[in-house]
Amino acid sequence: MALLEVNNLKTHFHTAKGIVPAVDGVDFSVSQGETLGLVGESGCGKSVTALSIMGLVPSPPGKVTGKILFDGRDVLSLSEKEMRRLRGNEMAMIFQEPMSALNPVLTIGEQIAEAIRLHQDIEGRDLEERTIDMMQLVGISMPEKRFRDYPHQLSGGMRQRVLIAMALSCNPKLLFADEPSTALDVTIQAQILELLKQLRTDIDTAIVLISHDLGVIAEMADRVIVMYAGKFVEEASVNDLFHNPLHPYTEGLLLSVPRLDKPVKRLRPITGSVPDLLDLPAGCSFHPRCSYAKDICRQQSPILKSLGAGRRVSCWLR
Amino acid sequence: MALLPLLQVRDLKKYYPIKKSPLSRTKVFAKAVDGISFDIFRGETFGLVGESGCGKTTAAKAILRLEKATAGSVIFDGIDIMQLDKAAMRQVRRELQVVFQDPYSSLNPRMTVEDIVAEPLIVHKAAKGKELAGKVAELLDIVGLSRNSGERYPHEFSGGQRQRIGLARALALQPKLIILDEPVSALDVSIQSQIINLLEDLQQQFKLTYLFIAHDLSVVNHISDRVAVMYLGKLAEIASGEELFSNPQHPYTQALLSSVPLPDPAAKREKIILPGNVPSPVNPPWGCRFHTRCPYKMDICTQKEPALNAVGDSHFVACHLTGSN
Repeated sequence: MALLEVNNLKTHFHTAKGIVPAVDGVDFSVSQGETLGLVGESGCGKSVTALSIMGLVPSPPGKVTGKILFDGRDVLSLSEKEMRRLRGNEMAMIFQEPMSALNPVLTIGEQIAEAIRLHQDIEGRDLEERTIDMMQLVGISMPEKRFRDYPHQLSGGMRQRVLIAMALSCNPKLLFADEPSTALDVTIQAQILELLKQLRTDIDTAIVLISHDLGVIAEMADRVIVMYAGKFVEEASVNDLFHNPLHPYTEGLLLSVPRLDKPVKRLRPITGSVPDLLDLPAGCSFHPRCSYAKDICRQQSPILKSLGAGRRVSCWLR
Repeated sequence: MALLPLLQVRDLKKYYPIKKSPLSRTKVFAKAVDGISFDIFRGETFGLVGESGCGKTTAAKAILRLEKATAGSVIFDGIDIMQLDKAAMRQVRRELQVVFQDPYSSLNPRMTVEDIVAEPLIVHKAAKGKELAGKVAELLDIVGLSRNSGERYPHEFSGGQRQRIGLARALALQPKLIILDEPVSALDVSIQSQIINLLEDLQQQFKLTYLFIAHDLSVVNHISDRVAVMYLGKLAEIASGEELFSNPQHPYTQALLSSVPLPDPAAKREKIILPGNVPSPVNPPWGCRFHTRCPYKMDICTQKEPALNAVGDSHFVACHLTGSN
């Protein structure tokens, strides 16, 4: 059985201007120990998907419907108290901007210890030892000394390590990593990705990796889902997705990025821009930007068809 | 390359004073840019890459005289602009334009797009009345914005469109050189490539020269003719794009290139993971600034600063490993 099963998840925000379908009916599952990549451009709903599962969507204005089964439990029916026990303990999340996710007036030792104390019954000396162990695990040098440092005394990469330590302190079964390396420099990004890979094998945590960077996804993920305007447009194993993309949007993304390994004279951008979620085009949301669009694409929304071998695509051409 | 370069930067330095404590009299400096020299030739795109805090934006600001350089000279089209008075500098600014990273904060939210694009033309008394309106419409057209966008305000536009507005403004006075500071890094992938293509088209059409500053190596590789790699206020390596990316000589360049995640799950590469962080520019390491993180550190690297030496046809490296000392 899958660790996480999501069925027809919809997260709609009720705003003064109308209903924003940030996530609009997505189904997927995550198995134990695997890394699922979630790609898409800003506003496509990838972060909101993760926040919905973590129970972190503010309501109102947000409204989350559908079914989320985590380790056999129906997440959406849990009380806030039960949810709090689950969150941080069995599922955890790390964010893009480590500075704004940390409390500036508490030492990093206190913050990591707090995450452990809230979910595990340890105190005093044991708690401090466990905290220092966690800091060591994520590669923070001189943890006894750094324990007393404040977030502003650390570099961006070190702050991200603190967040990873907090997230992993209770050995979660599932980790959402939302653009974990986007705010970091390339050489520091390489350190953090290496750390995540190593931790994945050490603690066997399933990871949902959210990124707009196709390079990061190709390097880290086993399986990939591509999102566009609140919906899934394609799902495939990482090899299939990069070597044989079936959705025109996936193909467009792959062709539009400049690549170090395959330089081209001229890039092939996707024309136009992402539609306004309050005013989505009729039919397939991607059709105004799609060079293969036919009449049916303008009229009817395609469904996400299963093509076997874990491959799904939502396109009238397939 | 017998032609005179459009821009010659010589030993440019920018130090920021830092107060140690209110009572301390000793002056301490953050050496954001610490002696860099390079040439940019007419019609080329010169890429400047490096990680955050390496001094690439400070270098741009010093070149534009938005920050007063501590030392060094900047010769633009034959004139040493560091020596110019305010009025003369204003004239030079017509030909020396800049586009910043953040299209959200570099446009005045209370001005219409028309006014934003017209402003440089008015300030420099380049056009007025009907001619002005015609020029603005033409500029908006050139950067791919619809005619009616002139009456609208910046917040009504997406990131990519705002970057187009910034470009229209930069183009208004027909500059020779445009400094592009991270012009696409705030944009989504699909929009990034639209702007990159637009930049290439504009360069062709108006014979522009670009100083392209970015941290994204894939983008820099794509757009640049020549590339300089910066580390902690110094240049580590300069070469043509092709040469730099196929034959990097400086250990820092090698590590940078190997760190870029490739969009190909089958790519098999040995990553060079650099230990630690970039040191502080207040007290940069002695000798070679990179030695604290360098996998090939030798004794000399901790003592003597390597000079930028030629290792091939217009390929320069500041490293004792390759230095022809």
